[in-house]
Amino acid sequence: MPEKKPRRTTSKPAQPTKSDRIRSLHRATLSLYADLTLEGTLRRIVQAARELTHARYAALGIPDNHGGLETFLTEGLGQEEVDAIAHPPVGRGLIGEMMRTSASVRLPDLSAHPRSAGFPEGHPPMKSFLGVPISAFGRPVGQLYLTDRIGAEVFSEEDQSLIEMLAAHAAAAIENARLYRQIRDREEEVTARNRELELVNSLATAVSSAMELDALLAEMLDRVIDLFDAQAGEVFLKAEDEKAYGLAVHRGRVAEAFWAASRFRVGEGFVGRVAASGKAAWTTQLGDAEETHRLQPSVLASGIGTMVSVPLKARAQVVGVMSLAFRGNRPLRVGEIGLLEALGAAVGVAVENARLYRQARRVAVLEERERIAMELHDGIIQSIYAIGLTLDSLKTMEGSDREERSAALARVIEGLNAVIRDIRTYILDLQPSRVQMDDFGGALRRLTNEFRANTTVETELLADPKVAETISDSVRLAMFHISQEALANTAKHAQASRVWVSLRREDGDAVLQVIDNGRGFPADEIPTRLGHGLSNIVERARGIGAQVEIASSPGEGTTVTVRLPLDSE
Amino acid sequence: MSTAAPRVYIIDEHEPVRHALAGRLGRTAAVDVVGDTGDAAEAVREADTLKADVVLVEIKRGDGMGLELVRQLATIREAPKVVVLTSYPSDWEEAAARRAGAEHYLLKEIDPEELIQHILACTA
Repeated sequence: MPEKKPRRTTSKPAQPTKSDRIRSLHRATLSLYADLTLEGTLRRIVQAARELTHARYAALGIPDNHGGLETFLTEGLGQEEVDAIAHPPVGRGLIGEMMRTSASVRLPDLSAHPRSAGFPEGHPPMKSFLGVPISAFGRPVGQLYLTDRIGAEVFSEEDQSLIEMLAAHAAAAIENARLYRQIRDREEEVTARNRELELVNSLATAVSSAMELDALLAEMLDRVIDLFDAQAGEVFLKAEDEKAYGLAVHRGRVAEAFWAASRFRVGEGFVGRVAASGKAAWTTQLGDAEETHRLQPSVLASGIGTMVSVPLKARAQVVGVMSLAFRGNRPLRVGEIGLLEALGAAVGVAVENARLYRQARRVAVLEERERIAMELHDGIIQSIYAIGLTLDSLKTMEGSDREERSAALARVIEGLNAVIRDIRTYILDLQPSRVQMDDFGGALRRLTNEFRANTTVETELLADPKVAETISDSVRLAMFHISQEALANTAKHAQASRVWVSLRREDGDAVLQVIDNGRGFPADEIPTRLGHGLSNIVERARGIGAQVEIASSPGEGTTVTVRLPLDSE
Repeated sequence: MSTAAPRVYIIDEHEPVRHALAGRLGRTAAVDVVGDTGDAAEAVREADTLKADVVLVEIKRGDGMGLELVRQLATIREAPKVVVLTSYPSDWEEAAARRAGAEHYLLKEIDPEELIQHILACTA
C-alpha cells in the first residue's frame, strides 16, 4: 500500500531535540492505556516505537509458552508485502535469540549477526536493527524490533533508551490488557458457570418439590436440553425390580423417540452400555455408529448426527440413562461431558428421591388405612353391633312390659346418636393431611372451630404465634396430629363440656396442651381408655423428640401435655 | 354332658356391646350370662371364680391383650370353652386364636340366635 509509506522520510530537515522526543514518548505511553484490549494495546506500542525511532519497520513479538511466537505485529509493511512473505517469523534466528535475552541489541546490519537465520522468501531487505526486550516483573513478555533507521545508518543510543523506556510502559500496558482479558474471560466463565449452577440449583429445587416422577423428569430434561442447546433428549429409567431400562420420557423438537426399542437390557445398545459402564458415551457420527440400526429412522432423517448419553446415578447405582441429541456433528468438549455427568448425578438423585417419596406416600396411605380400620373397629362397628343386639332383644320382648321396651328403644336411639357423633369425629380425623402447615396458628384455629361445630363442646384456643413460627414444619404437623388425636379422644370418651388447646413457650420448651373438663378416668386405665389414640400421640411425639404426659383422674378431666425442647430443633 | 344352661361370661372393652350382648343373651333360657367385664385381669379371675362354661371374647383390645386372654383362659383349672367374637376379621388372628385354644371365631355380624347355637354346640 503506497500511501502507507513512512511519513518520516520527509522529516529530515527538522531533527527533533531530545526533550521533544521525550514528550513524544510521554504522549505515546499515555495512549497505550487508552485501549483496554490486548490487540489494541500491542498495536499502539508498535506504532509508537516506530514513530519514536524513525524506523521504516517496526514489529512486536509476544512469545507463547512453548518457545514460539504467539503474536507478531508489524508496522511499515503493507498488506501485500506481508502477504508476500513466505511465513511469519517462527522464533528462530535473531528473534529466537532476542526472546532469550534481557538485554537490548543494536546492529548496523542484522544479516551480519552470527545468529541471523536469514529472511524467509519474499521478505523485504532490512539492514539496521534495534531489538529491545519487554519484561514485566523480570519475566519476558515480548520484544520490540525496529529496522531500517530513516536518516541514519544505525539506531542511536538515544533511540535505544527511548524504546527501553517505552518498553517499560509497554510491559505495564500489556500486563493490564492481559489482566483485563483474563477478567473478561473469567467473567464469561463465571457467567457460564452461573448458568450451570442455576440449572443444577433449579434441578435441586425440582427435587425437593415432591413432583410426580414423570413430570419431574420432563421438567429437568427440558432444562438440560435448553442449557446444551440440544435438539432433543430422553431418559431411560431402570425398572425398580428389573435388569432392564425403559423409556421414561422423551422431549424435544425431533422424533418421538431415539430408539426403535423402548427397553434395553444392561449392556444392550447405547443405553445399555452406558448403564453397564456407568460412564458417559457419545458419538458425533451417529450415522456411522455401531448402534445406527437400532435408531428410529426419523432420527437420522431429521439431521441428528451427534448423541451423548450419561448415567443417572444415585447411591452409586445407575438408576437411568439420559441422552441428548444434536443436529449435525457437534463437537463435545470435555467440560460439557463433565457437566452433563454432574447433571446426570443430580437427576439420578432426583429420580431416587421421587421414588422414595412415592414409596413413603404409599406407606403413609397404608398406615392411614390401618388406622382408619382400627378406629372403625374401636367405635363405630362396636356401637352398631350393640344397637343391633338391642334391637334383636326388642324382638324377643313382644310380651314384656312397655317400660322395658321403651328403655331398650331409648338405648337404640342413644346408640345411633353416638354413632353419628363418632362418624363426625372420624371425618374430622381424616382431614389432617390436607391442612397446610404454613400457618400453624390458623390450622389449629380451624381444627378447634371444626371440633366445636361437630361436638358442641365449648373450645378455646390459645396459641403463641411466636412459638408457632419457631417450630419446624415436621414439628407443626406432629403437633397438629397430636391435638387432633387428643380432641378425638375427648369427643369419644370424655363427655366434656369444655376443651382448652394451648401452644406456648415454657422454660425453653414449646408446650402443647389439650385439656378437657370431662369425666376423666383412673390413671391406670389410660391405655384402655384412650385405645389407639394414645399410642398415636406417643408415637408422633417420639417422632419429633418430644415428651408426652397424660394426666387424668375420675371427675377431674384429662390433660395431654407435649413438651419439645426448642434448642433440639 | 350338662343339661343345665351353659354359664356364659363376656369379655369386651366396649361397654354398649357388652351390655347389649348380656341383655340379648339374657332373654333366652338356653344360656345363663354370669358376668361381663372389659378388664383383662378381672376377666381371667372372674371366668374362673364364676365357673364359666363358655367365654365370649373380643380379641381386638386397646391393651393388645386379646390373644393372651385366650391363652390364659385355657390355663384355668376347669378351662371354659372360648368363643372369639370380633368386629375386625383377620385370617392371621383367627389362626392364632384357634392355636391358643379358641373353639369358634365369629364376627360381630352374626345373628344372635346363631351365636347361641354356637355357644350351645361347644358345650354339648
